[in-house]
Amino acid sequence: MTGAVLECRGLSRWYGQVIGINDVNLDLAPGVTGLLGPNGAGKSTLLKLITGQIKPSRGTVSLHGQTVWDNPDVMRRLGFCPEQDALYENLTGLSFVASLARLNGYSRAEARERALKAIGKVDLLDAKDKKVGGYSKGMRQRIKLAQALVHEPEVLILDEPLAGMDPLARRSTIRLIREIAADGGTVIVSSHILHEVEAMTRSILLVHHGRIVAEGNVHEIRDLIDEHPHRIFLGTPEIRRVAEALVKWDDVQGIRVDDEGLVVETIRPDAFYSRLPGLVLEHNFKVESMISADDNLQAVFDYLVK
Amino acid sequence: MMEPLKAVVHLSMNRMIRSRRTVMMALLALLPVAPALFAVVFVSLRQSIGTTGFALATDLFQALYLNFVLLAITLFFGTSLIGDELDDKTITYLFVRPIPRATIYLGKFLSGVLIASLLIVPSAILTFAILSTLDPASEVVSHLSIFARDILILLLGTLVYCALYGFFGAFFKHPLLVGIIFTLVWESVITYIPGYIHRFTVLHYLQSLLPHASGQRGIQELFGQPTSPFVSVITLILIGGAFLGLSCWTVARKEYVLPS
Repeated sequence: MTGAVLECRGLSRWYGQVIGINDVNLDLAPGVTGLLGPNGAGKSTLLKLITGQIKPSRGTVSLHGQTVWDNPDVMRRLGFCPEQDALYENLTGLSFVASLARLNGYSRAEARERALKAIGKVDLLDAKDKKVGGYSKGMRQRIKLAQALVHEPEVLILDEPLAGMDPLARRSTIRLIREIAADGGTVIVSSHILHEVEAMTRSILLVHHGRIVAEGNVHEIRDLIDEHPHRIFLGTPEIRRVAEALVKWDDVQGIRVDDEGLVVETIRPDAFYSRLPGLVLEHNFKVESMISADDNLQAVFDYLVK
Repeated sequence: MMEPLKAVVHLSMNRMIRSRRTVMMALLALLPVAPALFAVVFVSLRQSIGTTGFALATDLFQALYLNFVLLAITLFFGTSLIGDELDDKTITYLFVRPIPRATIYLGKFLSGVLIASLLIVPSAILTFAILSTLDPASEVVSHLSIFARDILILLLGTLVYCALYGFFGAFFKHPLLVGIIFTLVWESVITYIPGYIHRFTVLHYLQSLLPHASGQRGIQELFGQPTSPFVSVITLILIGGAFLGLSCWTVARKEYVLPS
């Protein structure tokens, strides 16, 4: 016994001629583990295997020694927030989460109670009675997270959970993930953005071309990344005002106007991310979205696999 | 098993009731009401329709309910039991819950049957009620048992066709297309081919259960004799059970890979 919660042994999965994941061996213990890799690296395939949505072509994946595929005992311990922006659009946030909680075996009253608690954790209580079809992108992300939390799973798997969230929601979600891990939970977070993962954990797995190319501490990767400027897209209708404020920051190397916002180049993304909410509040800017347009990670991966 | 099953039925019903498909299917289910209303208006204008309200009701039952409304509604609901979840990419939420996949499918199947029945049966009752106004009250009462049997045939048909089309939804990539081809070619055309081949259609057994000699079965009656009601019911139950079992087996084993 290794003491690991989740084990992958020789795990491979291919789709016809295309390799999704190739010979992955993993032992995941409680805490947050960041699954980092560029788009198409195989992160989602790995998460689908871990959550029993697809079967391995070769190898095994098990939770506490139990195989995952169509195994209700395993599913009871597992919470999953999928990447795709898909919800039951006609349901309210509360009925969406409560209905899914009932699938975990709770009575109607208990499911509702748990749903309210989970929705509270993601700060959506004000919008709980609105249809999720009318939610913003960030709210949709948070309600997806709530349905994953509703049964307080031992293992929480989050596929790109911060995508589309505004800065404040990102911050509170990161805090929530860290709290879950601090309480003894096992959390796997996938992202293609190093800074997101870094804010949650030091422990990362780098996935590239279906393989784990590196695992361990984030610092070494961080050093490689910081040699390159980092690009961040800010969606705002107040392009000129926001640009005028940002251009005064020393670490901002360049600003480019895009269709619906700005692309900012910075050499200190951490500092940028932590200062931005203050700036937005101070000037009452309307920032609708923030997306890392960073493609430097790809360069780092290219460097690592050469 | 019952609690998770009820939860899946509840979630699926919640979703289906609010869908555009259900609204469209409700309108389609009400289609036979139009000729019934037309006949009543026609009579009220002192025109003769040359038949009784009950005879017209039985003709409408076979021509529209059994051969069209039942097939169309169960086709659309049956093929979408799994298909809708795949198209909307919401199936993930169901498959990561602690419920066997077969139970998830069973819950979706029951909700599909329930919704389809709720659309078809009230429409049939409404049509019968409208056309009954054309007949004397004493005759209407004597026809009630026949009408009740018609309703049971519709319910049995809904169950069997939902199981059949549900299997298409679970197994095929383009279930609606397969279902349409099956309905138009197999269930419709085969019924008219001489010999015994029509006994391989579901429709044959449903038609064999009809309590009334409608006189409108036309060309079909030239080619095939009905099967006894007992054998028909047993055959329909077996067909429905077999396809429901196959669907549960398929869903439990098949991977439904959503595009990233």
